[in-house]
Amino acid sequence: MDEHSSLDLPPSPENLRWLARNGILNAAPLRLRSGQALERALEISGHAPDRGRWLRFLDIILLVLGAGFAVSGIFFFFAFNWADMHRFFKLGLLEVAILAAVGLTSCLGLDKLAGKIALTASGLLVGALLAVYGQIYQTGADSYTLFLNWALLIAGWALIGQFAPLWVVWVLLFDLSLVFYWIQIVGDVNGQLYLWLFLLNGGAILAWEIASARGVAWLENRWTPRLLALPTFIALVAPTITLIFSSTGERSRDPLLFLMLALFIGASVATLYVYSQKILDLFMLTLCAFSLIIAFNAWVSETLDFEEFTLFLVSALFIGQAALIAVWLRRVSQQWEERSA
Amino acid sequence: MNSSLTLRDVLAQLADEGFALPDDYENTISGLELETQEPGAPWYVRLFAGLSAWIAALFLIAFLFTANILQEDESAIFAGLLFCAIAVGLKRPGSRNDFLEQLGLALSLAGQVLFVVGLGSLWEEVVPVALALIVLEILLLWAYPDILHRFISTIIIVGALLAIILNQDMLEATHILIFALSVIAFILYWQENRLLLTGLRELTRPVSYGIAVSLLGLLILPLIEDADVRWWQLTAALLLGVLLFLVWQIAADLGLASRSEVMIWLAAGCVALFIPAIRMPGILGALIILLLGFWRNNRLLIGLASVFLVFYLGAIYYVLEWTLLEKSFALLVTGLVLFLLRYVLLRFTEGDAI
Repeated sequence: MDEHSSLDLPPSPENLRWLARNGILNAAPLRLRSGQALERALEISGHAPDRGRWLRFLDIILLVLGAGFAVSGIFFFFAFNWADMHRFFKLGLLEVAILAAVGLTSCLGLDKLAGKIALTASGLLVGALLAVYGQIYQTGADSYTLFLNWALLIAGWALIGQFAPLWVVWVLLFDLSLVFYWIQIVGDVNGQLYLWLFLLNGGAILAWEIASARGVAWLENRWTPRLLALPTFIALVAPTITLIFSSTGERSRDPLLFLMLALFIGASVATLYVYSQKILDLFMLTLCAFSLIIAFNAWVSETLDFEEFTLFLVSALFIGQAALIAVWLRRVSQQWEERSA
Repeated sequence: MNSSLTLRDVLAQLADEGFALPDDYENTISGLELETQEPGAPWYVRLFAGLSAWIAALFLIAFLFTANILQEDESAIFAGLLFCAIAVGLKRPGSRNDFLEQLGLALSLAGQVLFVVGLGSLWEEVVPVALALIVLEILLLWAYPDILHRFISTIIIVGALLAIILNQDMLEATHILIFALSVIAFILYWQENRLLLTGLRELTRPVSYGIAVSLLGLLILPLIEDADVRWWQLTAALLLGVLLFLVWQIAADLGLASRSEVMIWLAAGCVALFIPAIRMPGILGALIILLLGFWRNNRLLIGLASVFLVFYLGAIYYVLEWTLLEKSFALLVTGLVLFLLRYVLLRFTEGDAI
């Protein structure tokens, strides 16, 4: 590498640390205050916060923590179920709090973080209102109706809010509705529940990725689809393992398990292709690969009847597969670097 | 962040600001062979490797016992130490053989479990076993230069210390352990760049993560009714001290006067958090990790602290020592104080950065 190309490299933290390790940033007089030049270099290149970034951080952290503490406090207050407080007063207090949060959103606007957080707080308080309503009138409604109604009532806000945390909360409320419906009404966790969970979370990821590819600014972060990928893969791996370890009779009672296996294979192929060729996302690839090796090794264990040799074989398989995946992930990452160079 | 900046620009600015650089630094840089600067595997790839290694280790141990290869306590101890020694032998600094790395990690973890199980059966006492495990982990920290392994070793050491405290019925020593972890975490992140120059960063980086995770893990104890540890207000007070010192240090870094109005308000905000922290000290622990993460531009720490805070605020619901009404007032008052603090800070810094 020639002189110019070395000095013209971007000042990444790794490159700056490399300079420091090689004595460029800790020349003789600096040794006395070793590390200061590196810290300043990181600051100049934007890898350490300056005053402006600290102010922005404090602004966000105080806003988020303040809202988090206040909303939690309101939830706990109504969960206490103060007997001396009249029911209309309780409902009125919550409605006033929701109106205040919505009013704040309206005043601040949805283009400001404070406005989005106020809208999220109002969305959360709707849940408290529904819970208090159920508490006062002893509606006897199951938990799934609470979560479902909550999700339906805040659907409009989730759609106009353009705020990823609110959107995630909204999807999670539907997840909870489904899980509680199957636990409380159906009474059995079966292939149908997994299918709905897969369709809901997988569909949410698909919608997110399509909209993100079309350049919608608030959908650019990667943590949202990653977070949703966790329930998606759980909904695929759990029925596959159930299928592997179930008897013929159990399989015939729940034929959807076979469909879930097919969906697992299909979704894995799609995930491996999309996130290695179209969008680089090592998290998605890692999660998918881990799900596959869990299912595959469960199948090996069951097929070989958990004998002594099987235990040794599965141990060796986990080591070999993890190493292979690490090599493959590095290769995918390098291919993307070469493509972008 | 200015994306058009180069190393040349940064070095020029350092020189302008009076930082002494070697006279011939341009030639020195051109004479150095620039390493391929890989930021390293992301945390989730390491997590995947760690989980796979643990599963492989457990299957290996199950095989050794079911096949009757290990029948006596001494043989388990010997096999454990042998596995650890093989793992150290397989680890070649600088080499990159993923299969050997994964094999070494699994063997080492299996070895540690066999060592503890063997010693536990032989001695039947917690304290000597925990002390022996701490010695083994310290040796592995030094001899096995792997970021994931060092992270796991740190957590095991903290776990062994906690086991000693619980076994000896010195429950209140938990506060000292938590305080010590918070201080060590602070020092390691504070001195992160200096440690790089001393060549210790390869060791201290995974240890710092292990300490941060252990600290947050121990702060879950106040949420567990059966834990029987009392006087959590002591932990809260000690963590408040660490938090205030951290804020003071960051302010000094930014050139803020310690008696400026902004500093007074920031300190007031920290003290306000003491209200809920009396029973829920994890709030202060998470805030310490959050600030350290932002200070050091470490997104993993920021994410870790944020997830912990969300979990903690939810888990507080189940703490029975305070009634829901008391918890509600503590949280509401703290929330309102934080809003007030934000309003005041924004007013003081209008048009300026802090």
